[in-house]
Amino acid sequence: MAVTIITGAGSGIGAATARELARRGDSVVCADVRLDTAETTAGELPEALAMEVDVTSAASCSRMVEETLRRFGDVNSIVTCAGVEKHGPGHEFAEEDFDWIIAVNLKGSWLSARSAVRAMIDAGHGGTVVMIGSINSVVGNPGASAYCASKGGVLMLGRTLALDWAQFGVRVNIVGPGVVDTPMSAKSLADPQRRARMMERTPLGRPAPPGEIASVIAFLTSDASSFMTGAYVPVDGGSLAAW
Amino acid sequence: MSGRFAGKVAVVTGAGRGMGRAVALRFGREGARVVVAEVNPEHGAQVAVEIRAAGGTAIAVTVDVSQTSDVSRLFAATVKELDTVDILVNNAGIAVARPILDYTEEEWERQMGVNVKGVFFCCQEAARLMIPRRQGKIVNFASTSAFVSSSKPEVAYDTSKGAVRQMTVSIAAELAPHGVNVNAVAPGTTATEMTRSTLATEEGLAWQVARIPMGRVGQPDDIASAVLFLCSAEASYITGHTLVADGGWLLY
Ligand SMILES: NC(=O)c1ccc[n+]([C@@H]2O[C@H](COP(=O)([O-])OP(=O)(O)OC[C@H]3O[C@@H](n4cnc5c(N)ncnc54)[C@H](O)[C@@H]3O)[C@@H](O)[C@H]2O)c1
Ligand SMILES: NC(=O)c1ccc[n+]([C@@H]2O[C@H](COP(=O)([O-])OP(=O)(O)OC[C@H]3O[C@@H](n4cnc5c(N)ncnc54)[C@H](O)[C@@H]3O)[C@@H](O)[C@H]2O)c1
Repeated sequence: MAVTIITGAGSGIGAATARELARRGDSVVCADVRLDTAETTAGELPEALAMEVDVTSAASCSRMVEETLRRFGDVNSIVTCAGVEKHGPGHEFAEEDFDWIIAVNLKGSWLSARSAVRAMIDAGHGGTVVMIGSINSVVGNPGASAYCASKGGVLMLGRTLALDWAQFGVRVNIVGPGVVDTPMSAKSLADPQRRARMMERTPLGRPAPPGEIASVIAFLTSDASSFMTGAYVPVDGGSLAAW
Repeated sequence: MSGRFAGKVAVVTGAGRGMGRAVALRFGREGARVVVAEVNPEHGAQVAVEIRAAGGTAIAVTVDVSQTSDVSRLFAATVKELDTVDILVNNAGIAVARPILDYTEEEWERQMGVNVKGVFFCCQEAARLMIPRRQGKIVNFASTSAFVSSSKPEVAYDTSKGAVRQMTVSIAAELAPHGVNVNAVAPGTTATEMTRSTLATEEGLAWQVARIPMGRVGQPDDIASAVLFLCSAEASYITGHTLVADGGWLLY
């Protein structure tokens, strides 16, 4: 049975991913900086472990993987959903906010994947890594320079790690959600004007429930995607195809 | 038959061999009613027989997708036999490989006729059936050659695949409000008749494998599973995308 670690599993896309992968039979590790929400996710699932992790800390990421090995004996996949966002024009944005966003979204994706892939290499088998980029990995968004920089970074990070780790049979792919109905986007979606603006650029005309991102993550952590590595997979309702 | 695609009608062009055949067989196994649309009548019939032998449902229709009259006939026959079209996979393709100085006008027209015009008119016929029903899935075959040049000179082929990629984007944007998802796959080097001569020699194969981060060429089933994913409910929020399945070819 596959063992999958999901960071940011306390909320939104991470929580939906934990549910989707548990449903297909994975043992899932629900890791989040908030243990209480991770426990809520794990509590509803049959074969799940909740864990506190701060993905900005290398030590915390190693502990997460050690704990996973102790409990489940192996790790086959990691999905890095932990992420943060903060808006503000580039000329006013605070340095500590910039550092925080890069630390969680970009460096955190690397640190958590690195720990898991070290275990895969030690075990002598391959595995899969899925990183959560964003439509902002490839197009900009005014007032979100740090977030967009972090997500552009995740795309190139994932592509290059795919090259580093192909020789170990570890595939790395990047998912690019568009507008997803989660706590992260709740404020924008609640404002009718902002929601209308976002939907104008979404040909399918609706935000995705987080399960629609999770089902793509399930594909990328399965053998069905056997020849895919380093790919960017948008799940954006057609936003990148739109005028 | 039960399965992810139970009862769905899936038209697969060029399904007589190679990746199209792999896609058709997988659809058959997962419950779809398959239309094997193929220019080679024996190959098409054989694949339909294989699907039925495995307990699936299939018909074979002989069609040259570069002929609009054939395309109309394909969709009319499908509606007559199976009522509708839920899924269209535009896999039929040819590769006219030449140095630029050697292409004739006729060769250029043939390349575009099958790979571009054929895809467009199949999409048009499918859209006619899908728009009123507010549902449908279309997957076109692009290639890594829609992003970079092929490893041997074949500018007409590369151009045709670039066109397929952009056609996918524009049709997706137009059909999204009608509930139809339109995507493409971009296989890297995959072991089929199309690449047989390249992969037949030891140096040819070694060169390709050395160039692919995953250290192997693709198999038709690797690509078929990517195509079925794009046609499935799991991919419901994906449209206008060219899904790259290339073992990492495009990464550097
Ligand atoms: N919601 C959207 O519209 C959208 C669009 C594109 C991309 N994304 C990306 O998807 C991912 C998940 O977002 P979401 O919408 O589910 O957001 P969310 O806020 O609902 O969930 C993010 C989770 O990450 C956790 N987290 C934050 N910092 C952490 C840290 N240092 N260590 C461990 N966990 C930490 C949070 O506690 C939270 O549970 C993020 O990377 C986000 O950027 C979201
Ligand atoms: N093999 C590769 O490495 C590779 C890589 C990228 C993309 N592709 C693309 O994948 C698709 C399938 O290729 P393959 O490798 O399986 O090739 P293939 O030559 O093995 O199979 C192609 C099939 O299409 C049929 N066909 C050709 N012209 C037709 C027409 N006018 N009408 C109907 N059917 C027609 C052929 O008879 C054949 O059965 C093609 O679009 C090709 O360009 C192939």
